Amino acid sequence: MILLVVLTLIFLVLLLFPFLLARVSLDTDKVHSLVVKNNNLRNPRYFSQAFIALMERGLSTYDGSGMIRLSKAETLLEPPILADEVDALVYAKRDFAPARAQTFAKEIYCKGDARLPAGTALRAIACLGTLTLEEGCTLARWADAEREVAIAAGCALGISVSSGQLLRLAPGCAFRRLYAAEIVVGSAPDVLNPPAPPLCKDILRNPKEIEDLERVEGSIVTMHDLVVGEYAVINGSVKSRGRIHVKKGAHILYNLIADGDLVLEDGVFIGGVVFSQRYVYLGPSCQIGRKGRIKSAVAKCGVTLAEGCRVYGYVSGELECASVEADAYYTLISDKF
Amino acid sequence: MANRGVTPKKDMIFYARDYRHFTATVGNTSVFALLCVLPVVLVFVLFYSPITRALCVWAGNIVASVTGESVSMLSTPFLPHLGGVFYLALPGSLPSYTHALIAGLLTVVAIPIVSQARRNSRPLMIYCCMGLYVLLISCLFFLFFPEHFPYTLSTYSQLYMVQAAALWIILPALFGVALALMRANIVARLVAILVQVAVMMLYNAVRYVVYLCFLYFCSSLYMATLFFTFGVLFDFIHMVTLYAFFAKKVSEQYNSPEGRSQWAWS
Amino acid sequence: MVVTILKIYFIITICLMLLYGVRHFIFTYNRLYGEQRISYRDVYDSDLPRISVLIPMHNEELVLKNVLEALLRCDYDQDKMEIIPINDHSNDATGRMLDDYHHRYPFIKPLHRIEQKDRGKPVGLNDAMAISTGEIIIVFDADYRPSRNLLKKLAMAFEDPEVGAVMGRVIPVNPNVNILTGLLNLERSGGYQVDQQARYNLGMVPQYGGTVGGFRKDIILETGGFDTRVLAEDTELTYRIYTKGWIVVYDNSAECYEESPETWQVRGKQIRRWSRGHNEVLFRHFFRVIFSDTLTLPERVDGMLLLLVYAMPFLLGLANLDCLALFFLGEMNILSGWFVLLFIGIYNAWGNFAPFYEIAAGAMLDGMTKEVLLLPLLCFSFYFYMWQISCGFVDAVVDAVSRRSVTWAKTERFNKEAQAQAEAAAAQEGARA
Repeated sequence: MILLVVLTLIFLVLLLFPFLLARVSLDTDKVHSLVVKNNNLRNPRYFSQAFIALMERGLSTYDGSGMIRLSKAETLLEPPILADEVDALVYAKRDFAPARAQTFAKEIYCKGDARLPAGTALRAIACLGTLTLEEGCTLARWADAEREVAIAAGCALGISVSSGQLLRLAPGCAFRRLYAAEIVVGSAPDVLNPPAPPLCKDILRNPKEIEDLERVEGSIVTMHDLVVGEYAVINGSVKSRGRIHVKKGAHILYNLIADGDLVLEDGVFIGGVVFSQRYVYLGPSCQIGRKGRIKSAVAKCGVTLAEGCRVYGYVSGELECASVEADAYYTLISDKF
Repeated sequence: MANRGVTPKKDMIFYARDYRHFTATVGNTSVFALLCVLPVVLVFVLFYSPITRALCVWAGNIVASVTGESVSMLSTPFLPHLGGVFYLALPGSLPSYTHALIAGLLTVVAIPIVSQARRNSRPLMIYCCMGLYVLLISCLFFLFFPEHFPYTLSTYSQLYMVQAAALWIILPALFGVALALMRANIVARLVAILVQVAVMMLYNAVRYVVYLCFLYFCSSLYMATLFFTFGVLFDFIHMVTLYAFFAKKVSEQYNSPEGRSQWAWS
Repeated sequence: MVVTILKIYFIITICLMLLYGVRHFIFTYNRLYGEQRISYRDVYDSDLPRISVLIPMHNEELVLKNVLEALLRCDYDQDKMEIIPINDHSNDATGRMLDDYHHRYPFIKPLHRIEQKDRGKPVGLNDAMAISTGEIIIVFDADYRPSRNLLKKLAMAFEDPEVGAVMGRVIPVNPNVNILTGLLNLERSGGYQVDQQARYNLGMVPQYGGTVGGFRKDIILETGGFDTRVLAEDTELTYRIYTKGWIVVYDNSAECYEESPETWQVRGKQIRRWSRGHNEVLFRHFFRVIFSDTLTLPERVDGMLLLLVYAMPFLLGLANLDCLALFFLGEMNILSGWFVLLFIGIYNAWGNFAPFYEIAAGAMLDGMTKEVLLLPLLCFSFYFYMWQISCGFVDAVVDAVSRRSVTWAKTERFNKEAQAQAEAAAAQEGARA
């Protein structure tokens, strides 16, 4: 009988322990709701603007001792800086143009124009003038300039490069995000400015191809891969659940969206946003957006910008993004369709 | 010339919880399933017969000593060609009319009382009410159709062991499937399954003895209640409890500063 | 014959439960390991669509200031938006406060529904849409506090011409009040972080939830507006959108706080109302989904399973009764092993139709740790839900058979502490900004 009592107690313990354990283990005082950042705003130039604000606050109390108070005390160096490897913040009151390649492990704040020689490695730079990165520079995080940014060939551009005006990128660079009023790869042809009629609200569903020179009034939504023929004009947006191949000279006056790859040949004009869950390939002399407006070319995987293409606004991809020469571009997309 | 020595750090910017995920480890999951889950399940599939036999030998001794009855061990078919499930056979008792009536009246009184329980305990109250309704149905059955009650204590014992054998096969498989989703060390997951099996076996064995003795002393009136209200659900709850602890550990690991590098961010 | 029918029903229910088990396993695996579809939140576009933000209100004098102030702080171009609070037969200071806001901000244009006899969210939304000038309608409940960039995130989804509606994510602001709010926090985590996102990833049917979301006004107006006989106008919109060839996009990053019910009684009423509304949509749309020529196969299958979600507890409850009958008929000998499988259904249905492994995955993705320990307690809430949802299912059947009209009820608010916490958090954020 004693054994039965013991077994009954064991049974009751096993019966109840999950609930008691759950209740006891949970201290509701230590449970918090998930943090929702209610005051966050999306700003493609956030990194540099936040850094500049921080630096200006620190500089307001800087006594020239070489230590500046930001979120913590940091070493601050002013040019000329002779060391090959610089593990301190750099502050240039005027132009900043080192004579040779150096490695800057912390941020650079330049109130004038900055020109970094070939082979420079840097973490980040905020520039109130123009910014030039010569061949083979390596950027770990971000770079921003209020005025023009010029990037030479072979640069690795970290997380983000932005400009308040023009961002000129040579072929052969790797990047993740670019932002400027105008982004140009290499030397771009004349700006395209086709007419912008009001959006037609009709929808053409499930075509697989738009013929050369065809004009479509309305948007296109298709489940299939889609080919847009040469010099076709679509007065609407285009969405495919597959891939989209836009042949040369075609104009899509609004947005271009695909779940698969987006391949644009040369001279294509997209009046709106370009978005893909996979890769975006912008061919030579392509233009995304119009002057004075901000549009985007966003891909979950990667964006390739061919020499001569132009984007008004924002380019973003999380994996492989690069600027390439025209010949290399056509080799790259040869197996896409 | 560049990138020697001091290297610019922090070249990753992580999204928060929106899109982070793990890279698929089909190999890891397959190895876990083949080397850990499948063997455990196979052990029960192939050896449920001797396991139930051993359980019955142990339980039979205790039940016999507690009840003073002669307890025999019988077998019932389960999976073809894999042996039968053993169970204990012993005489039981049906409730008397008075017993059933009193239990029924008490249940009728208890249902409205329980349903007025504290508002914070509403789920528990609903669960208890459902159990009381099952008991009420049982009481009504014994009041009006006592001769038609289909189970003796022996057939209940058979029901229990067949269900237990099914549980031993299904629960580890289920637990294994759930663990396969966790990105964790194979050894840790194997230990978790073994702990789950151990708890399950212990609980089934102890419950078997306690239920048989309870029904012997208190009659078959409570058979339905034990089967439905205090049955399989608690086996699942144990499994979920173990899973919760395991998941907590895994979550702590992947939300630590070191663990964050394991996430894929796009 | 009767026994055979009971056994067949038992087995059918088990098969359905296994189907849902497989479905949720796929969702969990996809969310943890699969490729995630991103939303359109990364897009910058200077040409935003014109939006109308609709906020149904009934006696919301305590909370309306919070939602309006939050919307005023949003970074959406105020020339391209209007806010239409719908004062639906309030008898407190709601009307007066809204008029005061209108005087200060002309683009806040309250709609006072006092004279009209009919009440409720769908009819209020219909009236507001009739006077709205935006092409996109965004709906918030009155006790929500949208973040500054939430409107842009939601509006960006409509860059895609296939998108008919967008749904964001709600986050409970009060998970630490009691066990119920803690359980709801877990359920929401599993439901949004895993379930909705996986359905979006897999090209299935993410559901538009009626708040923290938006839709194209034209789609609704062309099809006669919201059906005022339906309680779940959000679910009805989801299916209307899909059967017309549009899609719903889920944006996991478009987060907004909500207040979870803090008592089981309030939660019970809420879930019963959801069940009633959802099942009304089931009766209307089930065969339309099967025979629709605009849905892909995954959308069709997931659409049907989603429609049945609030019928399953009723069917499961019947299966339990079925088992009870089989037990007393002496038929459980054969099926007692299968009874275990029925419990797969029950364990599958823990939480608000997310299995425990799905909820645990959501909690891990959200960075929650100790909260996962509440999982065992979900088993009892299952029986609570089974009861309430079954009552809602019966309500829906009675509605369908008797054609009775629905009466709207608002979920009770408990905003005392939650308000204080949210205000403290907002003040901290403001100080940091």
